[in-house]
This record gives sequence, C-alpha cells and structure tokens, in this order.
Amino acid sequence: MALKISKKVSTALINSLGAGVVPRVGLEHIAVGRENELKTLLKDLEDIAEGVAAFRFVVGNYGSGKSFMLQLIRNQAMEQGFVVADADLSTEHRLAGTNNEGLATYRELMTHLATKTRPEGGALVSILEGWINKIQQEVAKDSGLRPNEDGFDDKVESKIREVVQDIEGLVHGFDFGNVIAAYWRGYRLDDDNLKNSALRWLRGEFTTKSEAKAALGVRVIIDDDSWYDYIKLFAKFVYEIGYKGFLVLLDEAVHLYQIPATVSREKNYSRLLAMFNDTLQCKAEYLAIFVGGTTKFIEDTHRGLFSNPAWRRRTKESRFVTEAGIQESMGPVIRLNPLTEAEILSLLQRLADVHATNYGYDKPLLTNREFKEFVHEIVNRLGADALMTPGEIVRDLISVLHILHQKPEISFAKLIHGNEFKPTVVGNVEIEEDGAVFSV
Amino acid sequence: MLSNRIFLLGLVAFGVSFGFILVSTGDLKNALITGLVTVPATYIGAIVVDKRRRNYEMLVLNSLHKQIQELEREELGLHQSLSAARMKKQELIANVNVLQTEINNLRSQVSERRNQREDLNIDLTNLRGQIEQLGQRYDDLQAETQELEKSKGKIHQSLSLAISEQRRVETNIGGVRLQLTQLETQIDQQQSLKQELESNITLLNRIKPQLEEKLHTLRLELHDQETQHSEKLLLEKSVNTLRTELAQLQNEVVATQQNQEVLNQQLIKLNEDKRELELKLQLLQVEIEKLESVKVENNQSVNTTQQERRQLQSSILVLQAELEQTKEQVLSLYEERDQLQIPHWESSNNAEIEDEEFPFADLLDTLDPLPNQSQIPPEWTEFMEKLQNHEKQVLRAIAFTENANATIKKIAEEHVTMPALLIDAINELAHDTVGDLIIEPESEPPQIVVEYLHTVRELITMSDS
Repeated sequence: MALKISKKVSTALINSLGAGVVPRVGLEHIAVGRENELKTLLKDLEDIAEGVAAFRFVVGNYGSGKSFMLQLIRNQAMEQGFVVADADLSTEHRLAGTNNEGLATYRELMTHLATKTRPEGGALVSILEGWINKIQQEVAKDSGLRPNEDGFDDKVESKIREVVQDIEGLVHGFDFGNVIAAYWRGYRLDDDNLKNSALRWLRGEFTTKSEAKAALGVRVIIDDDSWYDYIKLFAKFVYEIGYKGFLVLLDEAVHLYQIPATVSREKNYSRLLAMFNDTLQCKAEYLAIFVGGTTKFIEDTHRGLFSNPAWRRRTKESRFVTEAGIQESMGPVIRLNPLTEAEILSLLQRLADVHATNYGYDKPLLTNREFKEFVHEIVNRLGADALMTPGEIVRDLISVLHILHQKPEISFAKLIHGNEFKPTVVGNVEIEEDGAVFSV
Repeated sequence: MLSNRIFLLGLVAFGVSFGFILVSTGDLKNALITGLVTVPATYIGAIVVDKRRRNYEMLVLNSLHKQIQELEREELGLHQSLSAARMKKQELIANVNVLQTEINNLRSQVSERRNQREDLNIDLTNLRGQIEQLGQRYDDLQAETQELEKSKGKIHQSLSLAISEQRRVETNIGGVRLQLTQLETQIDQQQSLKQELESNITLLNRIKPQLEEKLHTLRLELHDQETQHSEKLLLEKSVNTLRTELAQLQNEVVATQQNQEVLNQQLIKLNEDKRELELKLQLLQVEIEKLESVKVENNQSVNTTQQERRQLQSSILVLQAELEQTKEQVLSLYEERDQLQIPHWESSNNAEIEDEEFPFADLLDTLDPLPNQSQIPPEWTEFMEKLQNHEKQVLRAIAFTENANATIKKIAEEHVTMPALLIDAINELAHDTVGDLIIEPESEPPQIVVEYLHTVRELITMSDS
C-alpha cells in the first residue's frame, strides 16, 4: 500500500519517530484513535473564527500522545488559516517569575509565530506588515495619494498613531504606536536597523528600558506583567488582517507543577487562571490557548492545579459524567485515554506503510500476525502499562523495521524474542515532594 | 343420642370379640368371657380417648376465648376511633361552614372593592382630564410669561440704549462747553491782536512814501544782478561738457591698454602651445619608429603562425580521417553488440547497461546530441497561470538577482502593499497548486528554495518568451 507522501515528509516522519520525538510534519498520516479529541479541538477552532475564545487542557501521561495531539492541531490550524505560536514550558520558561521567566515564554512564542506560508516561525513580520498595509491602503483610498508621493509617509504615520489610540485596553498605547511607526519609517527609508529594532521590541527582546529608548525612542518595554496583554492584542490584530484567529500552544505544563517554591508556583497558577477566565468569559477574542500537561499536574491536591480551589471548581468533571462513563467535551479538560490494542495495531500498520513508501519497497516486511506478536512481546516484557505510551512502541517498531530492511537475513521472530531486543522503558515518573527531581 | 352410641359401641365390641373367638376357637364360654372383658376395655379406651379429646378441645376453647377477647378489644378500639373520626368530621364540617361564610364575606368585600376601584378609576380619569386642562393652562401661562419676559428684555434693552444715548449726549455737551470756553478765550486774544494791528497800520501809513522810493532803487539793482547770474550759468554749462568729454577719452585709453595686455597674454600662451606641440611631435615620431619596428616583428611572427596553422590543419585532416575510421568501427561494434545482446537487453534494465558499458560516450556526444526536453508537471503550469503579473515580476527578481529587496519594495509601492505580503501571497499560491513553498521564508534577502530554483527559472524564461 503506497501512501501519497513526499519523500521529504516521510523522511522527516521516520527520523523523528525513530528518535522518539514528535514530528513537525506528516502527522495526519499516523493519527490513529484520537478522532473524538481532534473533533473537539477542531470545533474549538471553528468557534474562535466566530470571535469566541477557548481554553483547553490536553491531559495524559508521559508518552500518551499529548505533544502529538498539540502538533496535529497546530498543523490543522495553520492549514485552515490560523496564526499559531507554540512554546514548551521549562525551568526558564514559565508564565511569571522574578527573573522574567514569563517574558522568556513570550519571546519563545513570538519567535515561533507561524502561518501557512511561514510554518517554521518568523510570521511576526507578515502580521506587522499586514496590519500596516491595511492602514496604508486606507490612507491611499481616503487621500488619493500614491505611496511615492509627498506627504504619504507622514499621513500613514499619523494614521497609525490614530488607530493605535483607539485600541481599547491597550497599555502603553502611545509607545506601541511609536514602535509601529518606527517600523514604517525604517521600511520607507530603507533603514534595516530601525526595522529590526521594532521587531525586537515586539518580540520582547529588549531587557532594559534604556536599550529601547536608545534604539526606538520609546520608554517602555514588554515585561513579565504585560506580555499576556500583548498576546490578546495580537489575537485581535491577526483577525483584522484576515487570518481566522490566533492559537497559542503551551506544552510541558508539568514544569509549572515542578516549581519548588510555593509562592512562585501559586503565582503561575494564578496567571494561568487569569488566562482561563479571560478566554472563557470572552474578554479575549479570536484567541485559543491549549495547554498540554500530565494528569498529576491537574489533579494533585497538594501541588497541582487542584490545590487551588478556584481551579478545582473549574476543571473537575461533573459527577454525572463519571457515572455515565463518557468523555465530557464541554469541560476544559480533554483526557487522552490509552489507545486500544486494535488502535495500536492500526498505528503500527500505518508506520510500516510510511517506512515502505520512504525506502521504496512494495512487499510489506511484517504480517498482521507479526504485528500482534510484537505488541504481545512488549507487553510481556514491560507490563500492560507499556500500552499507555504509544510513542515508545513506535520507536521500537521503527528500529525493528530498519533492521529488517537492512539485514533481510535476520528473521523477525528471532529478533524480538532474542536477548538484544530491549524495548524502551518510559522513565521514572515518581516525583518526590520536597524536590522536583525529574527524568524522562 | 350419646347413650345410644355408647350402647352401640359396647355391643359392637362384644359382638366382634365374641364372634372372633367363637369362630377361631369355637369355645362359647371363652368367647363370652372375652366378649365381656372386651366391653369394659373398649369403654375405658373410649373414655380415655374422650378425655384426651376434651382436653384438646378445652385448649382450643381457651385459645378461641382469648382470640374473642382480643377481637372484642379491637372492636372497642375501632368503635372509639370511629367515634373520634365522626367527631372530627363534624368539626371539619363546622370548619367548612365557617370558611364558606368567610368566603362569602370576602366575595362581598371583593365586589365592594371592585366597585370602589371603578369609582376610583372614574375619579382618576376625571382628574387626568383636569390635569390635562391644568397642563394646558400652565403651558399657556408659560408662553405668556415667556412673551412678557421677552418684552421685558426688549424694554430693558431700549432703556439701556436710551441711558447710553443720554450719557453720550451729556459728554457731547461737556465737550461743546469746553470748546465754547476755548473759543471765547481765542476771541479775546484776537481782539487784542486786532487793536495792536490797527495801531501798527497807522504808524506804517506814515512811513509809506519813504519806503516807495527805496523800493524803486532796489528794483534797478536786482535787474543788473539777474543779467550777471545768467551769464555765469552759461559758462558753467560749457565747463561741464568739456569735463565729460575728457572723462570719456580717458576711459577709451584705459580700455585700449587692457586689450593690449590681453593680446600679449594670448600671444605668450600660443607660443607655449606651439612649443608643446613641437615636443609632442617629436615623441610621436619616436613612437612611429618604434611601431614600425614592432610591425616588422609582427609580420615575422604572422608568417611563423601561418606556417604553424598550416601544420595544424594538416594534422587536423589526419585526425579527422582517424576519427572517421573510429566512427565506422564504433558503428560496426554497435551492430555487433546489438546482434549479440538483443535477448539480454529485453529482459534487463537498458539504461543501466548503457551507462556502465559504454566508454565512447564522449565521442557520441559530438555525433548527435539528443534533444533534452524537460517535462514540466501540470501543477507548475497551473501555478504560473494563476500568478499575477506583479507577482511574476517579484519572482523573477528573486530567481535571477542576488538581492531583490529593492525591486520588491518598488513593486510593493506601485501596488500599495508590503514586501512580506507579496512573498506570502506567492507562497500561498504555490502551496495550493504545487503543494510546497517555493520562496524560502526565513531567507534574507529572499531566495527560492534550492530544489525548485531550476524549475522556477525555466518557467519564468518560458513565460517571458
């Protein structure tokens, strides 16, 4: 069965999956068993295009496919015309902190701002120029001047300031208008330094006000407290210039769980709560925030979100749902249940197809029965918990396929039953209470 | 009845036992004795059974008595409850009656209230009518007051105007009075002057004849002086004209001197030029001699090269002959190979064999180069068709120049857009038709993705032609 994938995509898929990393492209070819969750998130995207905002937690254990889900929805959103930004939280990247950890997350998001035509990031330029272009076209229509005529540039600058003043809820409106006007001036006068300084300001890369004053003449910078307001502003911007909305993906939220000091952990949770309230009360528009985290991050009553009663009220599933035993799609938490065995087999089949398309052979290397044997062998060695981490099973299958492809003389049965076959074990997930020691 | 039964029982027992023994042994005496014994035995048995039955029935009787007592008790209780219920029912009936009377009262009250309400409504409508009337009167009165106020205002204005006029008039009067006093003082002054003048006139009339004589002499002197003054003027005029002629002549002299200097300088320059030209002439003559010598040498070298060329042409002819021989050999070898390897070629990959076993590929290239037509997939032609003209210009600039930023900026100005948006539009169209992005998004200055560069260049040159 030859799939219709380009060589670039299939190589990227095989390489990243073989390394145990979620691939960036080609995800739709191996998405198995997550149709309901995907449908829920896609419905959220439709709502955002109407002007509503959304907030979801994508929750599951290590290796259960959270990052895969987020990447999948990221790619789908980009295809549909959304602007996406994603960042992985870590010890240096949080939502708030004394050392500008929140600003670091913002910087990461802005650097990875992506659209359909700039999928690797760097879409900030497109958004900024698109917004300026809208103003430029209005000025040309109203005044009848063309871009090279006298007075056009000044008219556009004054119109930029005028429009910025009308944006409600914008802190530092005057200085923000100055930054945009500086980019316009830099563009008209071919001053690349000025353009780059404006982009750096918008990406939050100025760390002191004096730097910003020297480069652009503005006295404020985006800082740890105000970065989320700028995210909301960008969501409105991207809608005005014709995109469908703005999707922010924050993965590895377990790092918030692991912050050792209670005060800063609570501060981060409060910031998360503020973002949640804004989106679900529609104070933010055209914005979706999807956060990927482990079950413990949500449900631990001492350190997790449930330690804060406000969060518990908002995210706990209603008792009717737990009694009925169905997955609730109205609550903000989407739980990734483990894949069934049939789904895992289907996934492995697809992987084998991708491998075959990539390396250009027609005859499949493994039969259905051999797939089942493979899965059973892994369950034998690692226990039934192994079925909860499809990522590791995938990695093992890819290595087996590689070996069988390169050395056809080795038989499959001998390979998996022999001593050299060591299926990867998902790392130690016990977390001690007094210090967050963590390893994957 | 009972005694009958007892007698019957004894009889039966006697009869049975007598008969039995008689039948079995035939002994009458024995049978009689046995029968007589049997009778009391049966009576004792019957009595015992009877007693037992009586005991049993007594027990049953007791229990039934007890049940009867209980039932009687229950009956009493039920009677009591029944009486209580009856009492309650009576009470409830009484309550119901009371409530009904209350209801009737309330209904009457309600009807009264309704009547009152209707009356009030009528009053209300009346009052509303009155209110409207009052309102109208109020409006009328307000209009009147406004008119009165307006008239009052007007009167005020006229009053203030009158007051201001009065003031003006008063100031005028003051001013006029001042003028009047001034004029009176002037009049006094004038009158005093007049008196003085009259006295002067009388004095002057006395001196008048002496003055007339003086006047006559003075007139004669004046006439002489006038004639002298006119002669002096004529002389001055002639002097001026002579002076101007002198100045002109001096200017002419200066001008001619300057011309002469200029001509001298030109003469010097021409002399210098002449010397330079003579030097140049000498140098050129030297060069001419050198060139003539070089020319001679070149002629010699030309001769040698012509000889070499003749040699090379001869060698070329030889080589061409060899080439033709080798070509013939190659063709024959081809034919042989074809004949030998036709079955083998049909089964295996032709292209590979040709590449591996053909050492004369270089020579064949000079024979007949096959035309190489690159096939362009349909999605690329679709992409080129959907691309707009200014976007094509942008793509051309990026594909063929190192730094297309200036060109893109100019095109953006002409079409009122921005450079990043142009690049995004081209990429989006490419994504939708070809399925990939063709301008590297991160590149600065913008570059075409390496894999597609050749294709894009071909397409652009094809669309240009």
